[in-house]
Amino acid sequence: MRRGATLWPVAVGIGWRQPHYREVMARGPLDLDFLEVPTEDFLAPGVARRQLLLDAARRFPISLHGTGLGLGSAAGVDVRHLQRVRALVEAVKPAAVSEHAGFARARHGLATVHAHEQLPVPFSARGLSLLASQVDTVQQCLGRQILVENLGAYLAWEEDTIRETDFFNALADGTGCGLLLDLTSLFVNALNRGRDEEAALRESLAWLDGVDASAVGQYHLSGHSRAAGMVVADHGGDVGEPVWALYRHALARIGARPTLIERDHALPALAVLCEEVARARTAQSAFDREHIAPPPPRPSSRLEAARAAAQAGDRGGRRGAVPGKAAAKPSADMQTIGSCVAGPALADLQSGLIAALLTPPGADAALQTPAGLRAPAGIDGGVPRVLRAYQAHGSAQAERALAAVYPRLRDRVEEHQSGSFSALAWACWRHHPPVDGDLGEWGEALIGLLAGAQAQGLPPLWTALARVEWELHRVARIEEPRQDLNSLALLGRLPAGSVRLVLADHVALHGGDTAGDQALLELAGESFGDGPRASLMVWRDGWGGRSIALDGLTTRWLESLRAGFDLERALLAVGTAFDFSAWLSAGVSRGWLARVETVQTAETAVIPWGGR
Amino acid sequence: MTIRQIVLAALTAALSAGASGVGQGGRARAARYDLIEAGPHECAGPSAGDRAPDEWAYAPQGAR
Repeated sequence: MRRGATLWPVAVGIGWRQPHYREVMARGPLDLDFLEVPTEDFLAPGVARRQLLLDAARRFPISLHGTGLGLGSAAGVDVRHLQRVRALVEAVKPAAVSEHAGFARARHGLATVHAHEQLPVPFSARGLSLLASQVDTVQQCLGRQILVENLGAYLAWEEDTIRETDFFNALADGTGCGLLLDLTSLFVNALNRGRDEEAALRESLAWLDGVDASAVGQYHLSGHSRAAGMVVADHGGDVGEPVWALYRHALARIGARPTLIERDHALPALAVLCEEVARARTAQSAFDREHIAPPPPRPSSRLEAARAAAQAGDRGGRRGAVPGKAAAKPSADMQTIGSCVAGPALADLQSGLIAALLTPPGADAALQTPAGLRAPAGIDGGVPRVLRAYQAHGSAQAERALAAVYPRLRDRVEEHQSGSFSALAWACWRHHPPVDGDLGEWGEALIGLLAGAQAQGLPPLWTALARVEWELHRVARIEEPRQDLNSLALLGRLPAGSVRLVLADHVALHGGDTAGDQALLELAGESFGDGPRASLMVWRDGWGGRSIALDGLTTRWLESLRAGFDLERALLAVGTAFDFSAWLSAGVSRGWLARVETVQTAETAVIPWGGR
Repeated sequence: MTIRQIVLAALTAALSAGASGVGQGGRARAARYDLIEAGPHECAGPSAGDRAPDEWAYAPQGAR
């Protein structure tokens, strides 16, 4: 059992991504000290990935690396998202929890949307105040220290008046958080400021010299690449030599800290990542024991101050509170936290940048950008170039997210017109931006987008298919449903008129009225009942969603159960042609039946089809 | 058959045939870790690309 384990300073791990799920779990002992995963991929309680992570946590220490909290958002931290993160942290008991020092959420029209980018917070007093306040809140809610990562920043604010290292030192000192140093971002940022490689390395080394060594809790090493006009930390290749040089300097100047080999794209064989792990260990071995010791205590941190206060019996006040279980947690009725910290102007600046990222194709996004925003001097094309890069990234995220939810729809759209699914996804993103830090929650709006285009001739089948695929996606994410099979005994003890069968909440029926629905029924790979297909049922089967076509009699049967009919009345409604025995066996084994209950004790509420 | 007989016969069949299979299909699949889909999140920033797709509009076959 490795859950709750702490990491040695010399620990070296990898970003654990899907192509390596099986290999890491199937192979014998691997020479990896920990696994890092994107927190948001595992928030949904019912996804198979979550069980995988819990399995992995028995063998490896886990580092949860978040992208969804938007710690620097003037619109506040999403309380629901934070609570979901807390639930995951409590289940996994990770060795480390980290997030980014950026903003992602902002008001857009009437909603608060999530950019799914790590956008820069001003290095100014109000930027620091906002970020510190929300780091503090997150630590209190999670009951533990988090690590905050510096950004690969492709935009800057004119109000950046605090040196970046001073900013992070103050953040760590003020909140007791640790710092996660992304060494690649340091180098990429210097290149984008217009430095050549040698000067960029010098600047990055100086950055490391300026950071408070005792606050540093982890290093990230990754690849970067040159794009047209700019350099991006795309995590798509081997760790570059300049970054290895920075790592050696960090080991000498700061000391050994848990180190992550981070790769998000173009993932190589696991053995290749392990070679980079070995290289990090070789770099560590060049130093003596003094450098691999844990960092010294930080007497000036808020954590220490709060401990001292707690020992003195003073538990009052939020500022300086210990991030712990007993610390204040956000109240259920709070929608956001910290919006009062920053003035409305900062909220407006952040909203302006997100509005620019959502600019329609053909429009000049630069016209939308808020005043005070600039691009680093070395980026050829300035702010418009950076906005295009973010938009390209956003469209890629949209396409990837929707392709996972709507695989069969995507095939049909692409078959109709190659390349058009990416445009459809990007349109959905811009017209109905994500509002949640978990991208798995986004995408239902595509159904309405398709329905609206039926007037232009879009096949109704596409809309019907999208509706069912979204339902399949939704039920795959819900908490594991429970069946009360003991209640089956009521069928033997009581007359049929005294009991009713209760369908599981995750069972949903899609009617076959429209032309699209009818066409969809023909596509179903499985059916129940001998008559012509009349409806499609979706349910959670094991770890995923599944669908089956039903004939008219079975459809009527399910409608009777959903309407709350007792068993006798439900059987009379379908007559002797209905094979109740076959249905009950399937209903028990496939999870359609939640329980049997007596009519006297049953609730009388009737749940309509399509209700959740 | 009476309704009572139908119910008892169905219950017997369900108990004998169904109990062993409850929830097993999906869980067995989950054990095959390589079938688990990738999540949508990533830590990487903007990509090397510099152009998002054009506006989407449905074009019927033959109208393209």
